[in-house]
Amino acid sequence: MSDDALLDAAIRDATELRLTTALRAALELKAAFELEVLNARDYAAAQAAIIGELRYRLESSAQIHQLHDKNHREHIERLEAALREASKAAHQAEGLRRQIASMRGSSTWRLGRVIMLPVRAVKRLTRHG
Amino acid sequence: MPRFSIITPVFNPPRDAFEVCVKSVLEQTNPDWEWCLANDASPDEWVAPRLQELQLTDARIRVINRVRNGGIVAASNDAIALAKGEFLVLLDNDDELHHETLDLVADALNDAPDCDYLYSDENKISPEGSHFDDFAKPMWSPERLLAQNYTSHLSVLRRTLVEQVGRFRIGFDGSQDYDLVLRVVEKARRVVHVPKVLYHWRSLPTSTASAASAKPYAFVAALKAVEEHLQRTNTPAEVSEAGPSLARIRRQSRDNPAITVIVPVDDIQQRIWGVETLLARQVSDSLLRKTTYNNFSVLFVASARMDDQALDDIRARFERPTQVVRLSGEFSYSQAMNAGLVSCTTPQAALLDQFCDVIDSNWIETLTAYMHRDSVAIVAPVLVDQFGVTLSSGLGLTPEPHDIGAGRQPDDLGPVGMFAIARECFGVRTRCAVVDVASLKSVGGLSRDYDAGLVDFDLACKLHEVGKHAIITPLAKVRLFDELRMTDDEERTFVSRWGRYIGNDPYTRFETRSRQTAYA
Repeated sequence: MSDDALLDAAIRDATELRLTTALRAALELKAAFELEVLNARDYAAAQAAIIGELRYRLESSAQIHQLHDKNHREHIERLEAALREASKAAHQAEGLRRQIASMRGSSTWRLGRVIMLPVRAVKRLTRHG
Repeated sequence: MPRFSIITPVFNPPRDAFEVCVKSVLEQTNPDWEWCLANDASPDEWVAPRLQELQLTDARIRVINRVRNGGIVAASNDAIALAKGEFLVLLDNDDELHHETLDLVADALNDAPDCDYLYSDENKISPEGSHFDDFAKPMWSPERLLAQNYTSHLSVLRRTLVEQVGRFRIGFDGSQDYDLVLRVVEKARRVVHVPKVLYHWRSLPTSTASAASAKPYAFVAALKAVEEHLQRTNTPAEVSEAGPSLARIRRQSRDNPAITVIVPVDDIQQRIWGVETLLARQVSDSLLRKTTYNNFSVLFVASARMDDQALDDIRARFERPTQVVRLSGEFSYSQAMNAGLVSCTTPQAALLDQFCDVIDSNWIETLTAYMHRDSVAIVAPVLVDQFGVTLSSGLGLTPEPHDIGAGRQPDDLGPVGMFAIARECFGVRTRCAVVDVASLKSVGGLSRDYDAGLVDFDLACKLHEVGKHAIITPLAKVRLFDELRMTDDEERTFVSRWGRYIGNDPYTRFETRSRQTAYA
């Protein structure tokens, strides 16, 4: 083999080695970039998950608050209904009191009291005797 | 046209049970139904007059009286012939519907207009009338359906599809509904699960509700139905019995795909079987000696601490392509697996942690065979400890993150036989698994933010969010010389991201751990 041929072969080997090394380095760099991309995707997924979780908690919390609100409103309605019933009953009682007062003020009632006076006196004596 | 046609074949039911069944239909809160009953020439004298009476009292009830007894398939098909509704609701003549069944089914169908098959949870009724054995079913799990007729009751099927597949088939008595469902789901656009008990199955001594052994012919018919389903769907597989009413489906890989086995190795020595062993060597031996698959290459992801010489020694023993990726900095399990994923050149990869020891030599064949559906992202074997006790049979999130089946003996079938069959689950451990590389890459691989076991739960949640599934199979077992633990720090991270899934696992809706191994 001539010197030129040997030189060519040596240059080819050196070039191949250099290219192989460069290729390996490029592949390693590519893998490193891909790993970074993977990690970035995971980061994005994590952020989306956190937002999703916050939204879920907010919605759950809103639902609970709505439920509380509904329960409170119903409770207030029940209290108001009870209050209405109570004032209605008080109104009825007042009417009855007035009826009793007017009855007691009537001449019939007074006449009856006079008629029943002896009976009441006997009853009182019997009770104390 | 009513929306629902309730289909009931009638043959000598216990009268009390039948009357309860009638009451449960008549008391439905949703009135949009018709009831198609086929009297299969019941010899009991009260049956025909009672059905006649029912037909006269409610115009929605329609009865056909068969002249000769033809069996449940013929009777059911006659009842279907009467039906005009959009959906068929299957109801046995001694069972009960919840009074809101049709309302809740209608709501679910309104939410999913393309649904062709719907099923619900169910429970059983004792002869005394008490309810027991609630079955909280998983969301749609086609792999599980092959091993177990888990959808069973309540089943609601689109009538036009039932007509298209040819109604019930003779020769499948006892499992005729299973056979029908398998044929319907082959063509169904969507399957919906209503996670509420809408059906009460009466447990009589002669019914399959009381024991699978009550109707052994039904199980034989079920196996036949599964075999025919696999043939129709061009799925090479062997079907055998895995337990009471459980089928073992051993799928065969169609095309023997090229697999990259990703093995993260660090300079860790551990006492295994009483001998101090370099884990990297242990896992390599396991891979080398106990793997029958012939189309795989090995990708070692080595820590910076890993000795070059030791690595070269290990690589030299393999008579197949091996590659090494060096990991700079602190060695972490998730980063090692991720580095393997980005360097992997095959569409599917097998992850194999250095703490693993292969038990079943056909583990790669077994796991890759489940990767037939696009939606399957990861398939894993059952992990056991050195005594054969289960460490993980999938990941569950109800009531909290845990390894399903942890602490159970290997022969334990588990609740409703779930440990004996391959099934979809929320997630699986990545210590040993076959994965769809693109699916894992699309969600960012394994997260760096976890320092222990919750990384797999995080991955499961990420995959679930993008509609990808995990499958666990007991047909392959791998021994793990390590603990599966979780730390408080990573638990906080997990809860801040995925707290909404805790207690809401759509696949495993009940506690599956043994008490001894429950995490705190």
